[in-house]
Amino acid sequence: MQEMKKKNRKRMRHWYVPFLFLLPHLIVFVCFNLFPSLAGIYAAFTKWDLGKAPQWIGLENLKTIFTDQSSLFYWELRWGLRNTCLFVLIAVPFRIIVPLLLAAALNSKCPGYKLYQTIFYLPALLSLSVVMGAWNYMFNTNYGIINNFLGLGNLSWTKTVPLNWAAIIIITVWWGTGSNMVIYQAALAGIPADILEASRVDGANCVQRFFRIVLPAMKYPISYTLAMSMIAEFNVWGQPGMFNKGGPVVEIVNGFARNSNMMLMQYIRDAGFQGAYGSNPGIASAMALILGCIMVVVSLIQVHLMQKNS
Amino acid sequence: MEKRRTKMLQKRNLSAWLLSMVLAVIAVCWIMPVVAGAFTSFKSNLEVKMFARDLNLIPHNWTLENYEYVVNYPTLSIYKAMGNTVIVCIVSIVLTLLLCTMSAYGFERFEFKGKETLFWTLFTLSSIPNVVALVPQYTFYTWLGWIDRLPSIIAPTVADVFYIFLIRNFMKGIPKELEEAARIDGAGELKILALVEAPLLKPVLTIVGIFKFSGAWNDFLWPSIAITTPTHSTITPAIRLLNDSYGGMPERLLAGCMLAMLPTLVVYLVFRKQFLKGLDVGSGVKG
Repeated sequence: MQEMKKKNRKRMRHWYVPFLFLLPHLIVFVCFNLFPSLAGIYAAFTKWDLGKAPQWIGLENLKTIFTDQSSLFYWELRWGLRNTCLFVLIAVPFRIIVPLLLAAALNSKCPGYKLYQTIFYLPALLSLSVVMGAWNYMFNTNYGIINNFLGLGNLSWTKTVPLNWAAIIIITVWWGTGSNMVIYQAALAGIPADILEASRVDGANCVQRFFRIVLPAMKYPISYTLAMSMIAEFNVWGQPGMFNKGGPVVEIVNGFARNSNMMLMQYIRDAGFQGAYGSNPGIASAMALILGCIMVVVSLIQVHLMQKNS
Repeated sequence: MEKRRTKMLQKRNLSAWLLSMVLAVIAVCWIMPVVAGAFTSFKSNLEVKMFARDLNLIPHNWTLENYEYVVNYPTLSIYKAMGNTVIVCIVSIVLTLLLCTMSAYGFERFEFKGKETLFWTLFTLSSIPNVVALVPQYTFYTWLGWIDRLPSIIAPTVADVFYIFLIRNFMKGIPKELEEAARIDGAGELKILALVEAPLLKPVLTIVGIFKFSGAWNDFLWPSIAITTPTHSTITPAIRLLNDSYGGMPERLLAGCMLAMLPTLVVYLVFRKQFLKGLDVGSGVKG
């Protein structure tokens, strides 16, 4: 006992020991995550030509993208944000409900459930370009599986407006189901079987059991996956980018073409690096900041929930 | 009573089989893009174009010409891209596990002033979305001379605070007595972490590793910007290049996809159990 105290005292003496453990992570975090993020926030308030030092211009960029209708970036922000929000609003509920139903079905341990589970999870492991390669073939107008098996003729999934949205949502849900499904399965497995059994004996039917027992027990996993899925989908750009390159032009406003499936992330990337209208890193950073702020709101709600739970 | 019970069991058995059949149908549709892709990658271009007439999923004449084409593609080596991805995966997993475990140990097993404030400040700062850093990141890595090289892909993925959170919460459930015993035996803190704690942390470290694996394998936006030479690319942007250049020949792109998928499939089938165990977020967070 005494020796332990001595050791503890010895441990106390080196006040810096805990920091030695925190430091490696802290250094990497500050250099490669925090610093670029802060630089990005700063850049949003600058006029920045690549190769030159950014110049502080205050709220000028934000004023341009929010109010200047003669600027391309004004329209890009509107269109991009609208498409991204629409995408999140449609895709995220499916990304919760589909894996929840599959997890509930698999939880019954019906014959063959292990094989089904393996199959349902599989797409989550594929990289996006493989996913898009496979689905581009499925949706291919002339040679594709869907059109030919369902006898849809020459229906174009990439160019017809509500259909390209449906296709992108289907692909996203297919890709994103597995990761949420295993989280729900772990939570479902944690519900004691005797509680379910007791409610069954008491005459609760399947639907009642789901809403009264299962859903309350899943409150935390669902809110976690909801936040994670929302953040992931706000970042969307690869699916429409590789499916139909942002989709067909549906409208021309002030000489600027609006594509049906262009997401804000694609506009940010174009403005920042290689857009048709030249790069404008300051504006790109300002648009990124707006998208980032939306995601922060989602994250803050999540942090709040976690702190409340822990 | 006994009779009723058997009846109930029979009923349940029947509904289990019904459910199984429904799931089987869903599973067939679910796996269809992968299966169709796999079969089509062995078809000749002629057969792909005749699909509308023949409706044959399985090729009449199996051919390897698409694979030969992809493997010998002039400006891009698929093996090189896979090798790059493996390097990125391994380095990123090892560094993440190392840094996050050390940090979690520092936060969980020591007391110092402002500990919780520091932790939650870090956690909050880490929720600044990556998109905000996207533009300056490029300038930053150009300045470092890392653009077009693998470290530029690895560096931003390593210091994930969420994993510290996960590991730390898991650590809360491990009794301190073992460490104390090791400490009395004169082991240093690093030794305690490596030899006493780490083996007990295996379940949570496996989950972090698996998260990291799919993250690194699928990372797309930043690598597609940071890597400008196709031969330096990881697999996801590389396949995208194939996608852009193939146009009317889906079977060639699909051959590339199948090659890119293969390593993931192998890892998945070997570690199937760990992948499917999932993350028990509820208990993981409550500790």
